[in-house]
Amino acid sequence: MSLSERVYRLLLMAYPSKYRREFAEPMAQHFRDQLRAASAENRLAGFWFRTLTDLIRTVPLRHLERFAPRHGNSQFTDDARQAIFFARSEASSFARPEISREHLLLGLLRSDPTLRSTLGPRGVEDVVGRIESAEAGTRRVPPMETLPLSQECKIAAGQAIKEAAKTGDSRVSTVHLMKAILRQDTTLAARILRDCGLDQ
Amino acid sequence: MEPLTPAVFHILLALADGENHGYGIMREVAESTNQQFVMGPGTLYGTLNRMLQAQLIEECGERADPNLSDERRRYYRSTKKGLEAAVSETQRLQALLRLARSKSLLKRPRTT
Repeated sequence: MSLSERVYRLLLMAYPSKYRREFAEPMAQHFRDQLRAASAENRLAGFWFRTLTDLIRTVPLRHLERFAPRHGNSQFTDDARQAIFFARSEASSFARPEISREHLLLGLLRSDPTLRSTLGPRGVEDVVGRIESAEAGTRRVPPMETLPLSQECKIAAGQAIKEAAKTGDSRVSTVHLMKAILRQDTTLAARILRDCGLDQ
Repeated sequence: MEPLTPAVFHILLALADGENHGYGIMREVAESTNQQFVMGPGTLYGTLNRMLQAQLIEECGERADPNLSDERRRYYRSTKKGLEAAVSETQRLQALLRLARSKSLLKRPRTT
């Protein structure tokens, strides 16, 4: 086994164990095939970059598929589900018992590149700073734990589902989640989005 | 039927001609999209897993590919439901293309 494959197999440990049992071997085989092709074309640097970004993008999604509610799994786009996954991680990093709309907003920032580019680097820093100040605590490395949505966050998710239905979209996207946050206009998350120039 | 994701649709197109293994599917998708859509193992097998659960594809045994190494590979094929989903998606995209053409979108100059 090559050193590259050993490294890749170590990285595969980041996936959930059940998923690894099923797919680690074909994934390692696929990696070997792509590595062989990339070596022959002298494109190893690009190959490793693509492999690592593929891992970084898909590991959270596989973990999210374990924690997402069974009945609602396909209602959300991949980006929206990733936002909820990241929101859980944000809530956990602040040692909160449930996910708030502000954590959901942080999750949206991490999963939606359009939102990040609309706000710009300063806008993103401002949003994160304001939410961190409101949390008034130091962050910790988030353990992998299941956290529920707060009641207000559940209402926002419900409104996002209705918004998607109203516009004829079959799945709830990050845009629907943002519009749902904006609807609850007395909340910190909605005020932050409006202060950044985003509204309904 | 809800729209398919690009990854799912490309995989169904790749399997429309017959069964194939994961790396073969990836190569066919990459070649048919002129290297615009190249799936890494994480994306490919995550998508294959979801398609298996949705019964759009099924496994059909393991064997070596004579064009590659002599390692045994897991082969997949479309189910009837998968083929129907691919046909529906093609019809949906055809209708969208007709609409875009009616707005002369393809003839308009780009603004960027």
